[in-house]
Formats: sequence, structure tokens, C-alpha cells
Amino acid sequence: MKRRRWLRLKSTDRQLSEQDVIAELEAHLAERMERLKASGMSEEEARAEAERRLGGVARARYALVRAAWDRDIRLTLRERVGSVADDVRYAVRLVTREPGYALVVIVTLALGIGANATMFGLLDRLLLSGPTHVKEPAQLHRFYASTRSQQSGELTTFAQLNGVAYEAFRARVASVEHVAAYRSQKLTLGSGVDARQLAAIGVTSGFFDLTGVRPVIGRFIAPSEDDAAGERVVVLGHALWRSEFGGDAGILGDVVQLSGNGYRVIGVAPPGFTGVELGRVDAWVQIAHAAGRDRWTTEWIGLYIPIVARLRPGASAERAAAEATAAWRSITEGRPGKMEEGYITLAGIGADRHGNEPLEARVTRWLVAVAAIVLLVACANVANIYFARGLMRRREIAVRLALGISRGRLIRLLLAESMVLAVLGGLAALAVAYWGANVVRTVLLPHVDWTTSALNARVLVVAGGITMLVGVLTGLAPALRASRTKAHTSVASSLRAAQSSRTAGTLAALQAAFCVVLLIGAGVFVRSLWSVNAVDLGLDADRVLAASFEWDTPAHLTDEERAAQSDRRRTFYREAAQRIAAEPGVEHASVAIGSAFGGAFYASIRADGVDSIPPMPGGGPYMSAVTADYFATLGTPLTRGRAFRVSEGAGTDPVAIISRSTAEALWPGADPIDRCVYIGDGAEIPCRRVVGVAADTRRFNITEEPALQFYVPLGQQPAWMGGFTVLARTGVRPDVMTEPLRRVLHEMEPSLRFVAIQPFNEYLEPQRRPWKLGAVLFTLCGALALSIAVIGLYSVIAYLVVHRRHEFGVRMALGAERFDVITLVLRRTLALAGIGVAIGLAVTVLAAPYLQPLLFETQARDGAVVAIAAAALIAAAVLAGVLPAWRASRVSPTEALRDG
Amino acid sequence: MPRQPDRNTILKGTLDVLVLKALSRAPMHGFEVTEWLEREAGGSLGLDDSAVYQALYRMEKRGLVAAEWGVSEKNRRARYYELTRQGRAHLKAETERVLSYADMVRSILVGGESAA
Repeated sequence: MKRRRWLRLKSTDRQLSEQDVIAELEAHLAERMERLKASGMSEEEARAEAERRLGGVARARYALVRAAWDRDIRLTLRERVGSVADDVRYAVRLVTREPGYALVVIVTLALGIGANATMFGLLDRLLLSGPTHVKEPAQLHRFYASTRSQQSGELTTFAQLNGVAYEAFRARVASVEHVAAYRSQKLTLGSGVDARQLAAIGVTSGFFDLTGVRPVIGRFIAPSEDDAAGERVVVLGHALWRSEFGGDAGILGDVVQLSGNGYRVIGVAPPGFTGVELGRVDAWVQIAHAAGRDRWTTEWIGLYIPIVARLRPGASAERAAAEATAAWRSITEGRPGKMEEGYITLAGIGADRHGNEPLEARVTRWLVAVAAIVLLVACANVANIYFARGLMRRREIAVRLALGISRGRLIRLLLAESMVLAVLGGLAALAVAYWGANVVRTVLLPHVDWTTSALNARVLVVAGGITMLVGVLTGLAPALRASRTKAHTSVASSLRAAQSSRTAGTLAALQAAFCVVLLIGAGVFVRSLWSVNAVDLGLDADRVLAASFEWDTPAHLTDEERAAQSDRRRTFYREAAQRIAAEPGVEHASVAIGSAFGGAFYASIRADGVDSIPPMPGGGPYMSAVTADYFATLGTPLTRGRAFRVSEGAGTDPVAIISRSTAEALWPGADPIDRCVYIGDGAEIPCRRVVGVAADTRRFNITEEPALQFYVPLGQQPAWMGGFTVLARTGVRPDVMTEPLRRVLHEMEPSLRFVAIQPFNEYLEPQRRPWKLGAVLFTLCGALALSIAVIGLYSVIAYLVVHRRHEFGVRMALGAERFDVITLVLRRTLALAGIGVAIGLAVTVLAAPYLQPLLFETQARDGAVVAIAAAALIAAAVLAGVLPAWRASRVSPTEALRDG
Repeated sequence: MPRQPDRNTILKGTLDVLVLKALSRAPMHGFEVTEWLEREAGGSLGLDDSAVYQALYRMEKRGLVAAEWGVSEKNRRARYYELTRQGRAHLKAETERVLSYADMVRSILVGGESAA
């Protein structure tokens, strides 16, 4: 009987019910027989009649025993639930009677549980849940190709493949059931000043089947539409559909203009669908058009697209990788660069472009541990409070025990209190979690398309579970100890008190240890962030913005018309730079092809007196073509020589400016000015005179290695270099100037479809993000833990002082100064803190190697950080102990002695 | 005595409220309830005594009555039943319901006769 097992009723209880029934029936029969005998029947007749009226003893007994058993089960259940309800009611009464203590506990737990709920929300979004609307994301994988570099022999792994690989994998990797490729691109909706740039993704038709997503209205791209020859179609993202098209279902079938082409709207994606990555997507188009070629799956072109696949159920990733390697080898046969010696591996879709777990995800794992530590600190505090209360309530508990309450029942009563407070703390934690989630979403991870609420079902379930665990964790040990209170408590009390103070001290030392660990973690992350920000970028990233242009180009131009258009545009860029430079708020402007953080172009060079160009870790030589104001615009200092003159350009003497590392590599220790470099491999290349040396800058990433870089005046670059950028240096914050400059440029040139203006810092921010994430959240948690620990330490010391009043009274009566008492208390405080620091340092030393890969130019065991963390903790401990110590010294000796 | 099946069925549905009525005066043990019902009904109920106990157990399970072992006037051990607050409320509501149902049946049967 399942019910019985659940209610933990023994089989003898059924016998008890049966006995009850038998007794009741006997009594009934006895009464009935008495009445019948009084009316004249004999004993036997009376019995027979009584049994008959009953309905037969056996039958009655059978039916009634069943009914009685049923009843008893229900009554026992009702009693148990009722007693639990009583406990809860009692606990609630206690809480309302002492709101101060309850508030401290609730706030402490709210902070701890809330921090964990926030971190879980973060973890869920980045690692656990997978992208929204993607079914079974664990089955999705990316293909990575690993090949050896021709130059360095180093193995590089990259995710950017091409259409030929896509087609080969689709045909020949049997272990996967869907293969798809995608490519991010920007499309412009509308034209001119009010144009809006959309984040679009070009996909193969299989992409939607691969993710298992269903459209809200309409349909997705069909396999027949994978061909670039057909009509252009678009699937709108849900948010875009609502904001630009009013959420109107009639949009289906309409044609919208994106970057000068008409796309027919065939469907709308569900809200929050972002493909296999996490950033917002406004529109889905066919990849064939994005590829810009008709035969993108048969020609080997530099397309650089990720390819993803869904494993068949039961298939292994290793098998798929082996099959894909075979396919790769066959398509790379005979290609330059020994690519056929490469191989294919698979990784989960969360992996970054090199197949590793992204830094943000790894930092998040640590942050979850950090939040757990904060919770433990909070629980230690609360447990300490409960221990102290148990001691204070020993009289009440002794009375209850004397009145016959069982120990189990008493423990349940005490636990009810901790559970009620934990639940209240859990509810308050929701507010903390909501706030924390908003900080994470808007400040730390703004690039993720957050569509679910901060307090979604998964977060709530986890928060609820943590709350229950906290209730038991904080309450159980104190309840167990309190239940061992003896009725005669005078002698036992001092023993109990000593034990309690030992426990409290241990917990306080543990809290101190946790805090030290957190503070050190916060310190090294802050230091990493500082280092990232302090990297010499070779320019003033705070003041520069870059403008790139999208033109409304008529489709068919003759060669003449095309040449005329190029000329017009070249003139436009220079004029645009001049116009921008004239704007108030702009100090300098320049035009560049290839610029810092905008990429540069590989060109082979020779140099006078140098036999072979030494390779540099960052690669190169990379070339940019710039106007005279370029270095002033970026704030790149020139260490030797001069910048280009305004007069230098097409048709004037060939000159060049090289970067400092390049100067050192080509002519170490010598003056490079007036030396010659030769760009290109031909025979009759003129000498290009070096006129200046500029500080190093970076092509894409903050963390790049130095590369060979050089500059030529705009107009002197080879014809194959293209892609103009206009750069401006602002006197005010660059984001303030974004809209005004866009307006100016659109006014100047109405045929501009879209001008994208981005301050450099906006471009660089995502690169700093992992360390910013770690620094902010580690510091918040560290500060939180420290505050909680200080409160905890304060209450421990205060309790200690109260408990040892008698001793202090004696000491002072015997001649101790007030100062001596203060130092006595503080010594105890510092001893606890010291133990904590020691443990914390040990833990840090052990954990350091695991944390190191996440840092930037910082040692996980950084001496300065460790010293500061320890000092902070000692200072906090002194702060916590000072007030109780002072109070202890103010005890009047006579009073203390009397109380003793 | 021949059992009257019709009376049985009708009675069983209302037995609960009748038992509650018995207990509304004072706490009684099982036999006292049976006796009181027989007396008020003016003779035999037409039900087995065990049906009364079943009703009592049923209502105890539902929380309409509470039971406790005690000692009767005859110094015998007896299980005494008394109405709970819930039981009193249920008695009031059920009395209304049953009486109005009886009235309706009565008026149909009596009224129908005169029409016919």
C-alpha cells in the first residue's frame, strides 16, 4: 500500500484500527442485548437478534474495519499537516514579535540567494539553455578546420569555411542529419538620413530545419530558394516586424527594399530567435545572395562562413569528424598551402571561432562559484544567529521538553522558524535577482538578445530550490544543538555557551576565509581589466570615430560610368573629411583605406640593405593609405620624422611612413628616415622614401601581437586597394557627434544609402567585456560577502563580550585598564580574522592555476592584490570588533561581578 | 422482518444528516445514536446498525464529527462522537437542502394526484 509507506504508518496501526472496531462493536452488541433481555428475551435469543440487527457480525466487522482504516489514515495525515501548520504559525508569530532580528536574517539571505539566482540566470543563458527556439542544442555542432600555416608551421584551427566545404559535408557526412551554413551581414532598410541598419543573417534553407524552429506566420526559406538565380526573399525577425511593420500579418508577400534590392517577405520568425548565436537578428535572407556569386558551392572563394550540423540520434561527433575530414581532404586536394593535410573537428555551437569555450562563458562558471561562496557566507552568518538564539531560548526549550514534546517534534518546530525566514528571504531575493539581472543584461552583456524575463520559470525553480536548501542548512545544526538542551541548565549552560562561542568563532573564521578568496579574485580581475584598458593602442580610442558608407548604386553601369563614379566618390571622401573637420566639436578628420581597428592590406615589400624581411608575430607587412591628417586624427604619435603633407598624394614623389616595430625590425638601431622601401615584387619599382616613424597600432584586436605596418599617402596606393573610411577626432565624446555627422554627410550626398558611424570605443568594448564581467561581478560579490561577514563578525564578538562580562569585570576590578580590555577583545577579533586570511590564502594558492587562463597580463597570485585583500579583511575585522570592544571596556566592574 | 429496499436507498442518502442531527443535542456513543434514530423514526429504521457506524466513520474522516474513547453511565468503555464546528455548519446546510427536496417531492406527488 503506497499510501501507508508515504505516511510511515506501521502495519500494527491497522491492527489498532481493527481493535478499535471490535471494541466498539462489542460495546454496541452488549447494549443492544441488555435492552432485548430487559424486554424478555433469553441470552441466546438476544444475542442472535442483536447480531441480526447489526447485519451479521462478520460482515459488519469486515466493512467497518475497512472504513475505520480509511478514516485513521486521513486523521493521521490531518494531524501531521495541522501540526506543521501550527509550527509555521508559531514561527511567523516569533518573526513578527522580533522584526529586527528577522530583518537581518531576511536581508542577509536575500542577498545570498538573489546573487545566486542572478548568476544562474547568466549561466542558463550563456551555457545551459542554448539559443532560444533551438531544439536540443546539445546535438548541434560546428565544423572546424585545422591546418598548418605555411610560414610558421603552427597548427591553426578556424571555423570560417566556405561553400565548397558546405556542399561536401552535406553530401558526405552521413552521421549528421542537417547541415547548414550562415553568414552575418548588415543590410540597410530605407535610404538616407532615416535609414536603419539591420543585423541580418544569410542562411541556407536547411538552417531552419536544423534548429527546429517554426515560423510565427508564413514560412521559412525553401530549398528551391537556395539558388541565387531566383527571387530574393526575407524572413523578418519578430522584433523588427513589430517595430517597423506594426506586427501586421499583411506584410506577407510584400516586397521590402534592403540595401537597394527588393526582398519579398515570406515569413516572420518567433520572438527571441537568434539562430545559433545569441545576438539580435533582424532579418533572415538567402546566403546565396550574400555570397554574391552564382556558384558559391562549387567555386573555392574566400567566403569565410561557419558551418553547423545536427548529429543524427545515436551518432558520435568523432565519427562525423572523421567523415568530414575525408570530405575535406577530397576537396582540398591539389590546393595551395597543403590544406589537404588538414583535418576537421567538431565542437558545440557555443564554441568560439577557434573551437574553444568563449572567455565570457568560462568567466561565468567562476562567477557561479563566487555566488555560491557568497551564499555560504550568508548562511554561516544566519546559522550563527540561530545558534545564539538557541542559547537564549534555552529556558523556553527546557520547558517544552519537560512538558513532553519529543526531540524530533522540537527540531521540527525550530526548523519551521528557519524555513519561514528562508522563504521570506527567498521572496526578497527575487527583487535582488531582478536588479542583478538588469545590471548583467544592460551593462555587462548588452549584445545578447534578451527576450525572456529576468525571473523566468527556470530561475524561479532554482531560486526556490536554493531557498529550501538554505532553510535546512542554516537551521538544522542549531536546531539539533538546541534540542539537546537539558532541563537543568545551570551547569550545562556555561559548557553550552563555550561550545557555542567556539562554533561561532569557527564560522566567523570560515567567512573571513571566503571573503579573502573573493577579494583576491575581484582584485585580479580588476587588475586584468585595468591592464586591458591600459594597453597602448597607439591612438586615443576615446575621441575617434569611423564612418563607413553604403551607396545607392544603379545596377548596370558601363565601364566608363563606373570609372566616373569611382572618381566622384574619391572626391566625395576628401570633401567629406574637410566638411566634417569644419564641424564644431570635430578637431581633425582624415580619409583612409585600411586603418587602425579597420583592417589593413597585405603587401609584400623589400627594403634597402635588408636581405629578407624578418617575420613578426602579428604578421604583415600590412599597408594603409591615408591622408595627411590621419595621425593627428587618431592621436598616433610620430616618433621620428613627419606626417604626410597635404600636397603629397597621387603623382608626387613616393613616400612612406613605417611603424616603430617595423623600423626596429628592418633597421635595428639605425635611423630609418630617407631609407628606401619597395612595395611589390616587380623589377622596376621606385624607391619609396621613409619620411616618418609612427607608433604601433592594431588592425583588429586589442590583444594583437606587433606586426609589420606601413603607410602611404592616399592616392599613391595600388589600384586593387579599396574601401574608404572617414575618421574624425572629436573634442567632445564621440557618440554625441554620431547623429549630427550622419546628417551632415547625408545632406552632402543624397545618393548615400547609409552612413555607419561607430566610435572606436564601441568597437573595442566587446573585446574588454569578459574582464569587465569578471571585475564587476567579482567585486560586487566580494563587497557583498565582506559586508555580510563584517556583520557576522560583529555579532560574534558582541555575543562573546556579553558572555564574558563577568570575566571583564573581574579583570577591571583587579586593576586592568579600559584599554587593556579593548585590546583583549580586538586580539580575539584579529585572531579569528588571521585564521581566516591564512585559510583564504591557502585556497587561493591552490585555485590560482585554474583562474590564470582567464586573466590578462596579471598573475593569479599577484602579490599586491593579495596584500590589499588581506589588509582589507583585517581592517574590516577591526571595524567589526571596535564597537563591542569599546562596550566591553565600559562595563562597570561592580555590575559585572554582581551578574556573574 | 422483510427488508424494504426502497426505504434503504432513500434513507442511506440522508443517513448522514440524520446522524448529525442526533449528535446536535449532545455527544453520544454509537448505540445511543442508533437508539435515538429508532425512537425518532417511530420504530425500526430498516437499516443494519452497521450502516450507522459506517456513517459515523465517514463523517469522522471528513472532519464533521470528532471521536474519543470515554466511559458510559454504565461504566463501560464507549467511543463518544460529537459535532465539530464544520459538522454543525454542514448539518444546517444539509437540513435545508433535504427539507426543500422533500417539500418539492411532496408537492409534486400530492399536487399531481389532485390534478389527475
